[in-house]
Amino acid sequence: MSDVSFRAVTKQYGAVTALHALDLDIKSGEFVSLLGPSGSGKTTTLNLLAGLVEADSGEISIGNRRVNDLPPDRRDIAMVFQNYALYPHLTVFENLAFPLKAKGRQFTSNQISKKVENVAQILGIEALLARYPKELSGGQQQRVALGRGMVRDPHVFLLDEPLSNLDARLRIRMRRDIKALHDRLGSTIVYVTHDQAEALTMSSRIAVFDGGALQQFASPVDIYNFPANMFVANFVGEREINFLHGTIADERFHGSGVTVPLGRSVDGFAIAADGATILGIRTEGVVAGVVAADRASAIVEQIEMIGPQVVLYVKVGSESISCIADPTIHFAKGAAVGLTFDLDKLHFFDPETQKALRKPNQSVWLS
Amino acid sequence: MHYRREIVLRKLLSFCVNVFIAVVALAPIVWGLSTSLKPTQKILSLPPEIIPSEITFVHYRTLIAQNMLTYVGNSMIVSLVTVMLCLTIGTVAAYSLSRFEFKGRSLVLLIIIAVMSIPIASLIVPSYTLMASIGLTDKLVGLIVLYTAYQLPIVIWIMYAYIGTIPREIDNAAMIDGYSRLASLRKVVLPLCGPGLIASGLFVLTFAWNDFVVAAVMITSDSVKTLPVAIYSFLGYFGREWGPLLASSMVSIIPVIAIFILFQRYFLSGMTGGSVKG
Amino acid sequence: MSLALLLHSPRRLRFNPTEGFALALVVPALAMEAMFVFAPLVVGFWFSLHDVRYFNVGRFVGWDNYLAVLNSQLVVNSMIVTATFAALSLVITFSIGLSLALYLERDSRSAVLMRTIVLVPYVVSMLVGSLLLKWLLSQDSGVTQALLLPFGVSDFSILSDPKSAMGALVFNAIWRDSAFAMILLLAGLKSIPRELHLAARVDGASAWYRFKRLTLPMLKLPILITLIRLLMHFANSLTYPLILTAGGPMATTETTTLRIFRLGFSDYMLGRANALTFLTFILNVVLLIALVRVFQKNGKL
Repeated sequence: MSDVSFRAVTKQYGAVTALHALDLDIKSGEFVSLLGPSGSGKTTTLNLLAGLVEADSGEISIGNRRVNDLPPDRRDIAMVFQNYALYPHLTVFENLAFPLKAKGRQFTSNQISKKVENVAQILGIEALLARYPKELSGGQQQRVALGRGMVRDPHVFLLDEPLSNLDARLRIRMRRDIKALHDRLGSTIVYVTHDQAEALTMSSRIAVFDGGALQQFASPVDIYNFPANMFVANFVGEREINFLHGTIADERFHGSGVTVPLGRSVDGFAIAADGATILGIRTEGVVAGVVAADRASAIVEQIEMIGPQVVLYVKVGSESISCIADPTIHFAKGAAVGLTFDLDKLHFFDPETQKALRKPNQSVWLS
Repeated sequence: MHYRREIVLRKLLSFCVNVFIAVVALAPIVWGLSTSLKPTQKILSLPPEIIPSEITFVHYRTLIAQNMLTYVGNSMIVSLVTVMLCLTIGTVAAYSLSRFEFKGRSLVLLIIIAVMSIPIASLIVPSYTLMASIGLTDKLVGLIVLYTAYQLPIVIWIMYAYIGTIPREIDNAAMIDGYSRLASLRKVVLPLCGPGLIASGLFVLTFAWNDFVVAAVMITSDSVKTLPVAIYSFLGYFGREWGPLLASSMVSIIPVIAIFILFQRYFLSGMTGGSVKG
Repeated sequence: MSLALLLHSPRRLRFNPTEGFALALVVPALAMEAMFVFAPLVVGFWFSLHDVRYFNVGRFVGWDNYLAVLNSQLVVNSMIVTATFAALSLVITFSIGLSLALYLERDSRSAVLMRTIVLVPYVVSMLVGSLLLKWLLSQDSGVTQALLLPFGVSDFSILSDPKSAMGALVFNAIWRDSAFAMILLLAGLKSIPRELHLAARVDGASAWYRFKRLTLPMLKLPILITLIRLLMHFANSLTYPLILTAGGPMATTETTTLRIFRLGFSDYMLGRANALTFLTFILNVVLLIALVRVFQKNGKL
């Protein structure tokens, strides 16, 4: 059963279309990330759901109730803001109790204390209840912001880039904590982020946005392995994906200066008559190795040590691509290397539509 | 050790400059205070005594006999009511301008800037013309509405700038937490506006307390005179009797100087028409 | 046809509750301005076009009041007085204000104390400030005599000599408003990023060079704002001449605003007083535009 749904929702700011005819169904208890660069429509989607902006057309519902005309305070949602939006003039306790004291919510002060203490305990912030927000570290403020949302048991929990103000290490730890929290609470979470790693690690499903339109809505595994188009393929992933322009003929991909034998893996693709295709392959799909000079196909331009592996930027014909290599082997700039393409990790795109070419038996769908 | 001598010289020079500036700035006030505490016969004596050899409050007592308490009371009423009106009307307007996009918003901002740049002196004759035709001259309420109209733009401007520094997410958070617009303004935005309210409140307070031009034009009856109008009429009444005249001046300026020294930071932000730091 | 249009764009015509709420919050403020700032201007303009005796609005006389005012010797004199006073006060007050701002820019304890001291004349009411100076400069107080005696001047009244009376008036303006200029300029100075000065020092720029090439250009807008606010203040001064010199001796310090004041409230010629008000108003606007033009000519703001 769907819990949150958007039906043909459009929002314009003046001449700019922030969101175009969005259809999206989120199931009860799901953790859905809205992923995209700034201006892609993800934050507009969240604000529409929260009631902070009004939709121009279309229908938004939460728990089968149409909420288009309801103000935020009557939508039964909670939200964590990017800058936390803690009330600076209230203590942590008062911040957590604030939603419970709103008009129309009858809680005795005893009940309020109990709920606040319970949430504080789950988040490990019991010791901070008497402090003011400015006396807390970034991570602690983050927890208070989460707690203020949790204390009400909202129908839907909205998080707007909640980790972007934390430092790198803390961000990775908070990912785990938020995921654990979701497992524990089981409430529906809509999470906005521009960080593809956050979306991949935490979500049950990811909705990728670009230019005000939903590009793909699928599980992290499918998003990563079966991107619906070139945008998704490039946006998701630690590094930019390698795109090689060329043609497919005779079970081979012919790019400029590189030929990839495809074998039967290309069977069933709907390739254009002239065979023009864009080949996409992530860094980890190409392995560089030392080969005999006459078999070398690439020249090393840059070397990046990233820990478990070495990433090489190499020149192949006129194209520059990134690939991985064994860190125990020493590579020098200008060295000639050979490249091996992992056939399971190839993606093919139509140069016209930029959409992925799918095998008939692949179940991944384009939204 | 050449530079040491230079440092000492520099310090000495800047000390002398500071003393000179301080004397020019404060001498008229100190001299007025000192005169107001001298017995009448010593006031005109030559050479003048800078520090009075004999202190008396006789001129201040004269003032009380001259209805001084009424004038001070009138000034207080006018100032406080003006401050309250300006802050209430101004803050809600500033909130609206800062938080909503609506048709005519830029027109409203334009009007505010326009009124701020009209010199009050060029408003007094037209204002008198209107106020006289609707029977609001010679009434405290007439002064209050004029002061409010003159000072509202600056209050809106200061509060607009101040509310702009409060993240919008704070009121959004309150609304999501279950509060209506109005409730979130009252519970969250207003408590955070303190410094802006103090800055604009003090600005209006000193304006209303100090204003002489508008009040001198609007007020004629003794019972509704504000302090500055009273001082102006003393100028005619006492003539060259400087004692009571300067005593009344001191009554007018000492509270302002005290408030200024206590709340200096807010004063400055009011003068520069915007942000309060810290 | 129009009905079809109405039915086709329901969104545009629907009352937007947020917008209504937003407007409701600004209406009280707008009403105050409309009633007590704009309505007076309208009524005042109406009066200026009529023959008015006290409050009896007589026949429509067109621009007669304006012509009468412009033909008046006293008015022309007051305009010259205002121009002299405003120009002198503007130049000197601004220079002193800028010097004070640069001198007291650092947040040392003595600088903060000095800022407080120079601001005291500004927070004191103009009425009392001018009254205190009047007392100081009057022959009664004996202060000026004591100061002038060493120069062999024994019986001289500053406020009754035309030249020195104008000097006293300008001094009044400087004494009160230099600190105001200082504060506005100081705010501008503080907003120049420190790194720029540090970088310039590292690059070996001298103090004077840094002032000319860094401080002044970055201070352009604050300087313009300060000049505008001072000019508007001086060009419309009423309290200083009314209290300090009463416009005398022989109207040599009677500014335009004081002339308006007397036309309106001594002579009760409200038609002419309003006419002169609007003439001054237009002059103000012309001055403002000229000032902004001068600044625009010297590069972008």
